[in-house]
Amino acid sequence: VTLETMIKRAFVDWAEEAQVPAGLADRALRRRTRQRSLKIVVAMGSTVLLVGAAAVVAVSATGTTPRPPASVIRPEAVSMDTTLRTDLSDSFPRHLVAAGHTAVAAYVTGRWLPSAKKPKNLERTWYLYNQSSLTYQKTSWTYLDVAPGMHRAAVLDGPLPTSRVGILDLSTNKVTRWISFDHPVGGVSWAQDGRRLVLTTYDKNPDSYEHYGENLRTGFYLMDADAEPGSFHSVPGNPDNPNSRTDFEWSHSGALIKANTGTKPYWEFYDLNGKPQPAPPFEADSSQQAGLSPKGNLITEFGPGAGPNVTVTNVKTTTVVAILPIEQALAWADDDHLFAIGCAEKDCSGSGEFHNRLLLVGLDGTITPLTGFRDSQAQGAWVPLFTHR
Amino acid sequence: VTALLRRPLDTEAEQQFRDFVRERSAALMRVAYLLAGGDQHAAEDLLQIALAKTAARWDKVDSPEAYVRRVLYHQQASFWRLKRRREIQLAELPEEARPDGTPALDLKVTVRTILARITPRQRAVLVLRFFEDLPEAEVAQLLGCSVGTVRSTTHRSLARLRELAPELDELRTIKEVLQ
Repeated sequence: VTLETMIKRAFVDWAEEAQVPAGLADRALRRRTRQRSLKIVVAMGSTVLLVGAAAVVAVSATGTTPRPPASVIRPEAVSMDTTLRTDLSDSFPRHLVAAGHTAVAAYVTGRWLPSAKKPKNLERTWYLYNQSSLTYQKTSWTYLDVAPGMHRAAVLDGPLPTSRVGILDLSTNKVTRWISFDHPVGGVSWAQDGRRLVLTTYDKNPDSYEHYGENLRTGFYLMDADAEPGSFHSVPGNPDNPNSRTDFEWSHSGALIKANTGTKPYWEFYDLNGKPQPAPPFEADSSQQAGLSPKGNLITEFGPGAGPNVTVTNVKTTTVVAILPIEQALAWADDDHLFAIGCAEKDCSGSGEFHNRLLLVGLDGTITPLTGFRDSQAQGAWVPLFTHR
Repeated sequence: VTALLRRPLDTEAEQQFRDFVRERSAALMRVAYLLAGGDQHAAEDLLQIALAKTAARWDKVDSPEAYVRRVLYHQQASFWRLKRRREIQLAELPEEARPDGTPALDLKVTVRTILARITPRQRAVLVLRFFEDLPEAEVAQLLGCSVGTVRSTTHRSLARLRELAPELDELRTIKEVLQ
């Protein structure tokens, strides 16, 4: 018996356990009808915008008008410190991990409850870098994002989605203000200016396994962290996108917001009123989290081959700048260095792709370990959140 | 705007779709179940989404079965990739099932257990190659990658299986047998 034969037998036996649910055709046709109904309802409105499969309705404002986009990073908010900081212990990082202009401002672990075998809700535990203790500290927030400069964070508490968002001072570890919303919020993202926030709203908990395959997004709010929130914008999730969580984030320039599509092209873009916009050049093409480099001239993509390799290309000349032996490019430290997941050590061979660590990789091929190893496939593995420090 | 709205299926087309689902749902569900790593709920959701997409393009699709299978494989890859994009780790960790001896039944259980532990992409390639018995070229076409990628992914997947279950070292691959 060969290994392939044994695999086939195992697959055949295993597949026999599958149960065919009743009403598959009905449900598929209903789902299709729901999509059609949504678009028809939109077409009845006064401000109709249909682009591809995305339907957008602008709802009447109940608050102040959003401010025009700011394009300048507040100079006092970000550090010029580019010291390399590592924590190589083989457990959760305790001391700051940073390189270039970017730091791991927080990290998060995820665990399905009540168990991985009977998943119901994904529960995250966030560890935030505290500017007073100079260590990462476990928190009870259910979702958060750290502002560039790492002086404050936007936090959600209680079951998601939640009706209020807090602005947390990372020096005192105290919430300086709470902002309430009519539409419950499930995701939050700071703009590069360290001032504006986009808050994604959801119908139900976007991290619930029960809603697997449903896109629960209802829209977004924009707000200045120091001012009253803007109006609610209704931008329902595309029913064709099976991701229940499709948070809005800021585009590279900070002039638009974007959300993942579930397929290629990977991002769809909207202006700050929720009107669909064409993708800025090169920005929707990469599946890698790092996206465009700070100057906007380099992009990363997995390959060639199974590698693991990530290719860095100059978007204007299409010249390949580097092929790096890493599994994923996560964030740019500066224009010449990337935070990456990988191993890149001889003693890793044979230990599998999930035995990996956070690395700093230079476009010249230099590799510097930033953290200890982890089993990234395991429940409860830590995952970094990057911010301009 | 009207042009962007989907035309409803007429009665005849809807009946054709229902017939197709009735005849093929068992086979398609088996594939979805394997792709979902043996998770019945996830498999149902996966197949339902694929069928909804097929219904939406019913009048344009030449081979519904090929189309729904393609959507199944792509949907699964996209879903897992994006779910893991930022901070979510979804991998299932089934209990270890290491046999005491190596009788065929126990080894099969071991293989199934570790097939649930490899990546969805690796599992998809193995399902296509060894459950569906598709040649490498067809797998590449279905997944939208090169034959070389299918070959290397298969090789890495088999290596991963052996890594997770060293007892599989006793089984040789077809290539090793031929050598």
